[in-house]
Amino acid sequence: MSELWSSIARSQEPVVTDAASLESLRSSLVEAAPKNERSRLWWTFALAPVAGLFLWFAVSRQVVTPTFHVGAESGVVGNMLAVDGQVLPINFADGSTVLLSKGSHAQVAELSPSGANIVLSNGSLEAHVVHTSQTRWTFNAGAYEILVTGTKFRASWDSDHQSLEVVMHEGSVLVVGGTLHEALQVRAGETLLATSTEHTIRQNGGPPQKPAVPAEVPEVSPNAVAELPAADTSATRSFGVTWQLLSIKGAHRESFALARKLGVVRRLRTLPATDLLLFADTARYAQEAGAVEPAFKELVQRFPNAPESIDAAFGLGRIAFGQEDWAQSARWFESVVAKSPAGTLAPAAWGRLMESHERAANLPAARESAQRYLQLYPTGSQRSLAERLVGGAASKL
Amino acid sequence: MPGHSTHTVTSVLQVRPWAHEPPSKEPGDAAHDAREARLVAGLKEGQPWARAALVDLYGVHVRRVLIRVLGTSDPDIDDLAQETLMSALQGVKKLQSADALKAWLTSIAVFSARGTIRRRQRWRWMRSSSEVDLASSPTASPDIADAAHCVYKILDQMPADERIPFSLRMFEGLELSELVDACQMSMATLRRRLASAQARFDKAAAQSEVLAPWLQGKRSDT
Repeated sequence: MSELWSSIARSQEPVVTDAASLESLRSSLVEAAPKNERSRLWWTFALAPVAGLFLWFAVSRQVVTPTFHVGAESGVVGNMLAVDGQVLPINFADGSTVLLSKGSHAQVAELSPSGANIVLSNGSLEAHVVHTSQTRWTFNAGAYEILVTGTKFRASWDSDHQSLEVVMHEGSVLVVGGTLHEALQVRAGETLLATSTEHTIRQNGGPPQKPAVPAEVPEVSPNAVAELPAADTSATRSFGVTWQLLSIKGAHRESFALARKLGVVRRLRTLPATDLLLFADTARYAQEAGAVEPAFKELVQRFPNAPESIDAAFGLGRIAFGQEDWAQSARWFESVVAKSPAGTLAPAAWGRLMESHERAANLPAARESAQRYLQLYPTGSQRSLAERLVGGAASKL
Repeated sequence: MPGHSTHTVTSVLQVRPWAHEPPSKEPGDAAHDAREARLVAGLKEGQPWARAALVDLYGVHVRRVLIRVLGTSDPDIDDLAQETLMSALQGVKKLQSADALKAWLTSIAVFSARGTIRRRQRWRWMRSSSEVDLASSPTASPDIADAAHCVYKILDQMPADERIPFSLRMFEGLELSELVDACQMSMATLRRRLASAQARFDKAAAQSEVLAPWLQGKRSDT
């Protein structure tokens, strides 16, 4: 008898894993704010004037001017600091500290309320960066750049041999530039050694190694893997952290920040279709709405026949729909169903298409698309809307 | 036939008839734990990526629970899956341990399914039997589709509190302890309901031309 249950269960699996249903579920969940969140939003708007007054009051009395001290003296941005004697402490107003080691040369090149840029010309430093939601610290050593939010680490730069060592004590940093093809994440307990020819990551106190897989294997769905660029099999790249991997891991804000840092926003014209789609999704989830539409449009224009352009057209339709540009959204959804009539997005596109027509008060077009929807998806999730539009709802109730 | 019932009750309580996939987590699976913890933290912070990740990681699981209980052609599966995950978003702050996420989602899905079954049963008298939307998968072979049709027809006659644990036990092979959590009932109640469901099912299946061969173990061609 158990064979009966297992046979039925196996026959159900294609429906269980139906991609269109899952995509629709995903979209609805991402777009919909939970009730308590909506409630919070309501309160946010309701209290915004009060909060604004309070904020103005607070800020007007507590504007933090970024400052730092070198030893006991006030620091000056841009001054080169040479440590001839013992360790030289640089203390910042936010509580962050940088200890320059003997023989080191460095300068505080930039200073802002959210962080600083330290250039290490030679030698080593111990950094303790205090984390806040706005923290943006960067350290430069030769052609390398270390991106920090909040962390403790030691960085050593040998300018003669062009080698960088980063020993992580707490948190993690992203290292870009130099001989690194991709941004590399270095985590607590790890040491990165990058020379002019190679780079390795090892556990602190352990032997150097070139792991064949990332220190933490990103959890990627099969669909997401398909969207990745072709894998580079070299050990040096295989554990690099790219904005794509960060995005797939769900760290969309970090991914978008890295992509912006790497100039991806300005290089949309050079990206392949898979990256354009991933970047648009990343921007969407990072709530960087302004970056979504250009990526989708670039994808549709440059790769009109690529499968990714279907997703982009659907995305553009949703953007227009959200902007209540019903005519425009109808055009995009029409293009989706025309290009991919049997695709996974087709049911949702038909549904949005009839909604767009209805909201544009184009009732003949709404009725026509609803009839088509019912023909194609008689048990579809938007069946009731379609039935209402064709005037058959009453008979079903 | 008391003897027959006793035999089958034992089978449903002691045997995992079929588990379609291995446990999703081995004890001490640190990567899994970390992923769950990140996801739950993201959900509690209201992060959009976490909502997407929730579907990516558990959308299939939620749909599977609902489909096992209600059948593939149930018109409300999509809505119920959405309702389940929306309820999860709204209640996630009450979730104390990320380890419990999957079991918690299962219980919410069960709750949604239970409400739907009860609602339909209240209005069943208004429908003719031909309107009862029974489940078969579009990919099932004709004999499996027939069997599924008959199985769900029997399940449709069961009280929700028997149907749900019985379906999950038979289709998914859930352990009794998992069913206790999923169905929010005591072990004693669960055992009683499983036994009752098994007896109902066996009695009905024995009278079905389609299911009788399966019940007698004569089916061996799949």
